[in-house]
Amino acid sequence: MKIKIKIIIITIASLFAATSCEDFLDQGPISEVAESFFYTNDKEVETAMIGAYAKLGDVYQREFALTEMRSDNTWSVEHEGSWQEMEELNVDPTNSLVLDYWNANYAVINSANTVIAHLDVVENATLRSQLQGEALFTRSLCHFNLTRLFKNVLYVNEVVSYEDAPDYPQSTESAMYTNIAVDLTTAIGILPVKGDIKTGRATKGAAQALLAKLRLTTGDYAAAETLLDAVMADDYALEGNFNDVFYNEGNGEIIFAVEYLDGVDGTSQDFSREFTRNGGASGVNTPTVDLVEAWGATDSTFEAGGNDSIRLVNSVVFDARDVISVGKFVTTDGVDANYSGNDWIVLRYADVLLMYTEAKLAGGASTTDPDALAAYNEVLGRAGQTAVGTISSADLLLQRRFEFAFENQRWFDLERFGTLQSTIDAFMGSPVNPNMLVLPIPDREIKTSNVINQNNGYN
Amino acid sequence: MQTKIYHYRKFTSFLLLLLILVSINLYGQDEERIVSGTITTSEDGSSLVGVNVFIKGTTTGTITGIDGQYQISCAPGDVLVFSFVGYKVEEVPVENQSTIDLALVFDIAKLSQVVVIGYGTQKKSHLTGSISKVTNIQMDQIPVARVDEALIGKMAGVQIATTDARVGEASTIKIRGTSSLSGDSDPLLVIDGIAVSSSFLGTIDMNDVESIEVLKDAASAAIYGSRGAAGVIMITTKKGIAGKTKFSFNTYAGIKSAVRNENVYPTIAEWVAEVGTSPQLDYVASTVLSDIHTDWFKEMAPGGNVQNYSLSASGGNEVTNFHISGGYLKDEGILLTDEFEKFNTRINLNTKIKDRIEMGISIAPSYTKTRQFPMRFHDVIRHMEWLPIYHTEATLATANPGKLTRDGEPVIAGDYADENDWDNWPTSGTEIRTGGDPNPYQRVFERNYTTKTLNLLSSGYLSVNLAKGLNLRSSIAVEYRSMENDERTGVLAHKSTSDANTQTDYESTSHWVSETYLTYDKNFGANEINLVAGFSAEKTKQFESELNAGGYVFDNIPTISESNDITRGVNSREVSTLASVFGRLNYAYDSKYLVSVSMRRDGSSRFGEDTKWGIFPAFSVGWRISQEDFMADNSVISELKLRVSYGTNGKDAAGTYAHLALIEGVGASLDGSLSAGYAPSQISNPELKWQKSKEFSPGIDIGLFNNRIFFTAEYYDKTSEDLLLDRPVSAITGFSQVTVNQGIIKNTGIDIELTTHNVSSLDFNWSTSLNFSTYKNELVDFAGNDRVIFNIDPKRPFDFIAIVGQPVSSFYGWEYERDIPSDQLNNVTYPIGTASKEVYVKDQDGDGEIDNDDKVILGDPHPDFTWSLTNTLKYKVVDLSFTLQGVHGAEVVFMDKQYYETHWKGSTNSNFPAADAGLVRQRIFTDDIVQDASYLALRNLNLGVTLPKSMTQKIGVENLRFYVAASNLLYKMADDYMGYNPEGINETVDPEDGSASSTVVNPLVSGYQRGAQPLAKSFTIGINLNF
Repeated sequence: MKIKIKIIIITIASLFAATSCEDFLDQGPISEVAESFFYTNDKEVETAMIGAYAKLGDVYQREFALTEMRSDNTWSVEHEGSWQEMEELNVDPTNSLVLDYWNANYAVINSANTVIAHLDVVENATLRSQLQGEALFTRSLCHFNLTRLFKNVLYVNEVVSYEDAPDYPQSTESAMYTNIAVDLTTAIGILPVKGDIKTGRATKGAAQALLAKLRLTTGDYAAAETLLDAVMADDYALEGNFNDVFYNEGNGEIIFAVEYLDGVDGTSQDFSREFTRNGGASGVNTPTVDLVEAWGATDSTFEAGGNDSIRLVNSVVFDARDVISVGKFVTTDGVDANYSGNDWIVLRYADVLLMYTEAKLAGGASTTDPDALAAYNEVLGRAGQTAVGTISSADLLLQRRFEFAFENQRWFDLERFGTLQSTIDAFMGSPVNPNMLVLPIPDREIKTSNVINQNNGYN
Repeated sequence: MQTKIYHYRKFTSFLLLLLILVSINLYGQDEERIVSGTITTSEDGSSLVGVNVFIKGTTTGTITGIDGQYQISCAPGDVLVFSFVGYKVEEVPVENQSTIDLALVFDIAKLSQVVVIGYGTQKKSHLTGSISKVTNIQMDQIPVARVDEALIGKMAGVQIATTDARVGEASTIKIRGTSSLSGDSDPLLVIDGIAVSSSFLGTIDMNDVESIEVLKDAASAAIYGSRGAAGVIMITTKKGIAGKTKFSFNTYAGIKSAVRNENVYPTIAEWVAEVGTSPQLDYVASTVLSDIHTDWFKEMAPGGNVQNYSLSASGGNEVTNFHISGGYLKDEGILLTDEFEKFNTRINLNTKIKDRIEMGISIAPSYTKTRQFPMRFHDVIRHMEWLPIYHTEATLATANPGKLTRDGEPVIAGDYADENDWDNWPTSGTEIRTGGDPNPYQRVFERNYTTKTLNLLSSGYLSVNLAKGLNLRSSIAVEYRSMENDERTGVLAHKSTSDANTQTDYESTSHWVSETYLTYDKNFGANEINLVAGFSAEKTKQFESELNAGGYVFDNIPTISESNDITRGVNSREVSTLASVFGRLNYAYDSKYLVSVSMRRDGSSRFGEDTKWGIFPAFSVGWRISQEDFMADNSVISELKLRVSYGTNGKDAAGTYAHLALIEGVGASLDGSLSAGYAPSQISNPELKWQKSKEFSPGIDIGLFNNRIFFTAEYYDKTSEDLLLDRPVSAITGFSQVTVNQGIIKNTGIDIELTTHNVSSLDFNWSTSLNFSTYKNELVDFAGNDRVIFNIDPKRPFDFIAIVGQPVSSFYGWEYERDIPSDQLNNVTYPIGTASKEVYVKDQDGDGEIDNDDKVILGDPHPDFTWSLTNTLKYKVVDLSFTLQGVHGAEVVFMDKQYYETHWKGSTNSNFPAADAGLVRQRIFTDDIVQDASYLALRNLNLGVTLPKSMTQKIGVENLRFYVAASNLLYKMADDYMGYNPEGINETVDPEDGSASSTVVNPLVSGYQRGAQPLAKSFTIGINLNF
């Protein structure tokens, strides 16, 4: 009996010993890489930068909702939910469109900071400074996006752990612009010029144009003019045919675009589909009557025509079912619209020319400056409009509305020109609470932070 | 007085004789002698092989041979005990007989006296934890496609809901409340001792099931350690019984239809009566459309047939026994294109090599094929009866000629009619549409969503008797599953041909488990010891691939390779491992004082270096007061047991590599072509570990009048902590969430089971069982956040709130106060049935304005209580059983309402006082769409007639029974519930983007019901044939 008990004990002990084999429990990922094995050489850090561009693709998926749909340019067909909050300028801090946009921008910033954090492993010095410039540009673009819409956001220039995140400080609007300007100035000094780097990646010209826009936003017209002069001396030109700006991808007018591909999940976009009634929300970012009438379209069926027909017919689609929708970024025939490949244009040369005009106008009511007229008339000329001899602030704003309709510029144009409140009030038919002209910081961000404050007027 | 042959069919007379025998025993003598006899079954008189025959109080014994005969040496005064699995134990005192023949009585109740507890069995009387057991009596006659559906209402504390009513879809099973904040709350499924994927609930044939046990409390489930936190369902399949080979053929066939089958919209005539006149009605009335009466409900849910065939053979001798079976089920569901087919076979084979060595194998392959109804139901029935399925020349003539093109081609007679074909016709601004969606028939019929699965579970074991009472058992099991899912959207399925699409997913999982354990049983004096100790290791490998292609211009070749536009091609692999040691001691003293102690240590590859291992101990005690001397004379109370258990167990609901910081491949377009990029995809959390449940569960069992009345009540207090949850983090980290162990949920509740044998006589038997459960769910901690709001779908962002002190997944919003008067609204009759988009809501804080401070909790999906009542009656050859079941106090967010009432159309007009603009809110954010999901159902009803044996035995048939059965024959929904399935919940809604295609179950937004398919009722006739 005793022997048997021994056998039992030995057997049990050996069973337990057998399971102590830790190797069996050490299983690493197969379809992904553990971070500890990554960022070890030039190639890996460069692909991390490309990853940041991929993430930039998420930013522009629904940006129209936070910009065009809040302006007088577009609304939705069904006026529902989060979309309706946008068009009615009554946005709840839990609005998912706000949260998604916020998340997408900070995801790019995190990717860019990850690249910067691992620059020391990059051995090729040229590549290293190029990657630094690209990371600074993409980070600046997203910081700029956030600051313009939410004002008091967080300037993040490092990889932040989730343990440290709750105490990360909030910046003021002006501090944001100061920091972004520093980043962009550094980027301008180290980025390659157009042609020396693939399209879709940051260039010196893109950084200059973006900084110029920031300077205009803060009212620093002289600095903007200098930057725009430099871009106008660079290798950019208006595309001859207005329609080709949007459908001849990689054309000479593009300064910076986020590229998408037809039919590639993850690298395609579906905002083109959302702009139609086939979209998941049954038609959002639909042109308003206000816009189409401003364009001079006459009757309620919006037959093509008006006083700016080239841009109108190429910007608005009037289809056989009497539905109007956005005519820019229309999915290529035969492509599944859920996986559209139309690029999103962030900065183009026409914008540079009109920004130049704006810099020359320098906040005044009108200008007859010949350089401003030349730039302005170049844009008008392509649109089939007659050249003018004097430019008023209102003219410039209207031209920008037509030129950049549905390119998410309108809201910021109104803000820079100081007519946001009055225009929106008139469009809505009643005064809008000024606090509602700044978006709420996502509720989730307030709840997960110990330090940041919600914007005025939201709870 | 002497009796030579004891051959009883009647229990009562047996008892009488027993008494007589006991008295005879008093006069026994002491000389050894040989007693022999034949043991048969009382059912048909056939001999029973392998019956244990032993002298009471000793270990001297034998078993019956192939012809049911035995021989044993005993002395007068001894008592012979005859026992056999599934039969009543008989005790016969030895007087001076030389022959004792017996007919053992088959006893279903007897089967339930032994309970499977994980790595062994235990006498029910000795249980100290909370385990419910159901024996498969007629459950295989419930015409449902899955085992879990047949279990509805069978056990207290086990809440099973048909959350997705499409045929073949899994039910949601919650044991003792919601105990998880991420992933599913599915209990662990164990089939014949092997932990397998819960998908086997959909593939195993109920005809093969012997019994199902559910380990409910943490102490019982702790033997499954890290996977037991949501409870354990243990299925035991049928084994062969030594004796003549028995064949069993079971079949049923019947029809299914919807429990509720009304259209959401009234007929044209009813509309006219209701609203009098409207532009739509006027136009319809003036055209041929008034003659069209499409019954959209009937078109979408035409009902279907169900048929099932199962054939099995089982038998063997004292060395080898077997059970083999094959089955086929075809269930057409009730929806257009809905269909489920299942083929299954099984071999269970056990054999003894020598006296001490036993081995067995089990092989159970099955194949299922499902064609799913592809749409959300509300989308396809919210159409007026005047919309035809197909255009005719006559209907074309009534439509807007400008609209009659599709992809540039003219619409002709025979094409699908689209509501929008009448837009702006006959005058601008007029339309007859209700929603604007394409024709429902085309949306459903032009899609083909098919899933095929192959499931194989095979296992083998070797059991060696090392010494008396000491057994070593070693087993290996392999589970293999492959799933092919094809989703074809045809060129005519949507508004535009360019939406034509094929998605093909392939998934395969292989999983092996190796287990070795020792069991030791020892009785000495009044002590009974049962010891189990062992270890196991398992590995799971998963492979997934997904292909998606568009750009189809016709349907002739729907395969991926035919597309010129492959949009997605991804595959991924994952491997996870688990290693465990476990042990348990069950001890009983004098069958009075009961103790059970168990422990499991699990190591999982899913967690970090320092957190891989978890220990899950459990302890429980019981006191059978009824066995005490002072109760000996009590003729009323036959069983009185107090027991209490405390245990911990866990759940490894984290992703396979959840503790690691991961980088994933992401593509960016540069220079117009795809470039490889990498981006962080997951934050590292090396601390990540199991979520744990601790449960304290006292219970009482009371048996009265020889257990004719048996009552069990259990209380539980279950705290689930270190919950694996995706904690929201600031976006500045680059992520929106990190998986952490931070969160506490508490479930407290009561489960009651009452079984009574009301009448038990020769000709008439009637028993009743009643189950009752209630629980309270409370979120105690949510990662340190007081409240976090989640919403679904940017278009209709209804809020769910995780708030401390309230149930998980509470509904949140404004409280409906009153409607806006109809004269202040646009479109109240256009489109017809429109309700206002906005309503006045309650100013909770009375500050004169409506804001977020006025949002309150509007309900939750947790029921107040659930109950079921089963009656089983048998009178001579007729038997009847039925189960009534109810769920009360659960609520759903019923999104369909706003579709039915086109809320977005009923905006305010200029009569609406501008000053009130701040006092109204969208109806869909109020409790106006929160509806009562209570119900009361006659879950199943079964009426059978068994032909008398005297008749059937002439044709060689042992048993022949005909029956009619019905499920959900009565199904009473709450008065304010407008949908078709109160149990329906969209379990896999992604709170980030509202996409229903997500496969991630999110308990934080449970209770969202949108487009739930109708629940089915069925009526079947069947035959059970044994020969």
